[in-house]
Amino acid sequence: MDKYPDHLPIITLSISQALVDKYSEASGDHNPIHQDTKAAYEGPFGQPVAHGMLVLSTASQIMTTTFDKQWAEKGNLKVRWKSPALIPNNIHTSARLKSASQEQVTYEIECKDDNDTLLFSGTATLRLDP
Amino acid sequence: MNLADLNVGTTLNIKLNFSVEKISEYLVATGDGSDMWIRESIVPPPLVGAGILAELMKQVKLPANLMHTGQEQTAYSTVPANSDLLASVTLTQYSQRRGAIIATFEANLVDVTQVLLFRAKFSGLVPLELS
Repeated sequence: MDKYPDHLPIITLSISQALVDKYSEASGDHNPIHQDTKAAYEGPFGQPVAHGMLVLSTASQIMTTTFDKQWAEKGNLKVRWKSPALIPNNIHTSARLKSASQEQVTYEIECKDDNDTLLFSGTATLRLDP
Repeated sequence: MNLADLNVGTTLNIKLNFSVEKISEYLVATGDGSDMWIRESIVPPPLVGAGILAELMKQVKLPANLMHTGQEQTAYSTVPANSDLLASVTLTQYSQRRGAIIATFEANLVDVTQVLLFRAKFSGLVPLELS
């Protein structure tokens, strides 16, 4: 267990409408609920919200920071969204060691905003070489 | 086509190819400062999932009030940039429960030699009172 840190460095991302617009272009996801549109204000969240996948990118970043390319080769990420990331917002993603064995290491991941609202939680597991 | 037009078990095929330029755009948009992705020409896993989802939305009109509730993704190998890839995306759940429709898509991504690189599972919920 000593081989793996108990906590990984927190990833913080400032989410602005400009960043979300950039993400729409980069991902190809142009759903109007993520843009400053009438559809967003009439939508389920009453205002534009960040893409779930944009918020989720911080979970992958936190694992890559420690495990580098291994994460892209053998990583499993499983999350449930709890709340939307309203715009603007600062989000903070943290990871705490849950278990480690010869086969895999698992971290509990969670993402909160500045108001301490939980945006998503789940696990990130890295399969290890035998 | 609309989500409601699909039967459980329906599979859609999606062609993908992530350029290095697209990866660079993605890194800027997510604040990902790692230089590994460009140096090694690897597609970041969340971009793979996002790319599949974006192409799925081009083929299937999803309800405006669909909420993305869960996501699972597993890497079996790195996904190389500038490579032709094929995702098979299957609707594995479409059910009504507690005043909402719950839908799940599962995707397998393979390269041109049919080697499995990546799997993803997307779950969403549509509140019936708003649909």
